[in-house]
Amino acid sequence: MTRSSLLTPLTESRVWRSFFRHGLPDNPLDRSLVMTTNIFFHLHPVKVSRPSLRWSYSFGLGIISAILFALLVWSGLLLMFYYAPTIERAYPTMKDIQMTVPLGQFTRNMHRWAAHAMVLAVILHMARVFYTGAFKPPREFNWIVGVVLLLLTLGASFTGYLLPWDQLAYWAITVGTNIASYAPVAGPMMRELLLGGTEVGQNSLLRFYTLHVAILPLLIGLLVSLHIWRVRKDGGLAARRNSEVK
Amino acid sequence: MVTSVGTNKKLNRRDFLGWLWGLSLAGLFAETGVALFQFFKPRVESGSFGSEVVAGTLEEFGLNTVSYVQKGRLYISRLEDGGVLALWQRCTHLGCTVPWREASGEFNCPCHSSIFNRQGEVLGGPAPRPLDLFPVSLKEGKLVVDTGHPIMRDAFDPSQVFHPG
Repeated sequence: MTRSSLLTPLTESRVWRSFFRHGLPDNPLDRSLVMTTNIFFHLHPVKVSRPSLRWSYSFGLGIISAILFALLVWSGLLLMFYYAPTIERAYPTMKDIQMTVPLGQFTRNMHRWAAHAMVLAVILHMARVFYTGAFKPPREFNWIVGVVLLLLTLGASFTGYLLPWDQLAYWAITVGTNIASYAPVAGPMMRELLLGGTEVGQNSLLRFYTLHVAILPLLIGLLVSLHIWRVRKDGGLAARRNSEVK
Repeated sequence: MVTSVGTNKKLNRRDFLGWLWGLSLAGLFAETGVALFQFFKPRVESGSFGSEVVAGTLEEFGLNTVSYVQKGRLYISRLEDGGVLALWQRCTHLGCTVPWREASGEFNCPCHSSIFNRQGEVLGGPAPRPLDLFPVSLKEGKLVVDTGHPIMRDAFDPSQVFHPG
């Protein structure tokens, strides 16, 4: 009896067929269909130009940023099981994570280093897009989406900075929000809305926490989807004009 | 009798209703915006920082002293002639709390080394203007400071000093 015939009752079953509609792709058409019909693979264009596949062309900075974001969501969710955003408990719970939770220090370091790395990767990604001229038509809109994503990344980084509630966090946010209040007209009001008061306190901690764990990640997730979808719609990675995929 | 419809008029019924619907929707969004703004706007508890704060009786503040009033986030600076200045603790550079140094008789900001004297004037560092003031009044022998309305100033002027009694 061959392996395939042993598995046939399983692969022919109704449950299996509801998960996997097709068998393994064994011809070029089916293989390209895998790319277009699978939710995870469809993010990648079916066809890409050969020059843009070179590692040194994009350095994979966009996908590195996306992976770092996924890593941050995962490690951040783990930290949320212990962290409490109140001025009495924020610092002690952070110390708990570091010193008593198994792998807590590792999880927190993962979150912190991935956050620094993501800011770096996003900025390098922006530089790469600029130097390869990938912001030019028809990709102008995606450049704008990218700029918004950069701002959201910096926002997530800034709001996360307050959460340990130590001296560094407290004064960094004091100074940072004061810089915001130098903005013309709306500056001082913006600062107060962000802080939920006239100085860094319990309201600020809660507001920064909500922005950090819910609002900013949701916006980033939404815009990353749009960003990657536009890459496909605009013809994959930008490349020299004569090698573009139409 | 049949009249011609639409072609020569600027606004027919369909367009009018379309505009009405669009404007109502815009109004709804504007209302939502205002409501959200009100929702997020910080509120001030009466008697705490941001409202009128009782600093203490006048006698508590000796001549030529600077005293910290934590509740009001301010210093009461009593000058030699008995005049009172209520100085906000917030550095005019980037908002750090400036501690009073009794030994040197100066406010010395730990963040970026701005230095202020007892009138709040800038003696050094990056601060762009003197420490902000709060309006002071005397009610039933007690110094009351309105911490909701800080006064920005370019320089110290004797008219800024409150003279009780």
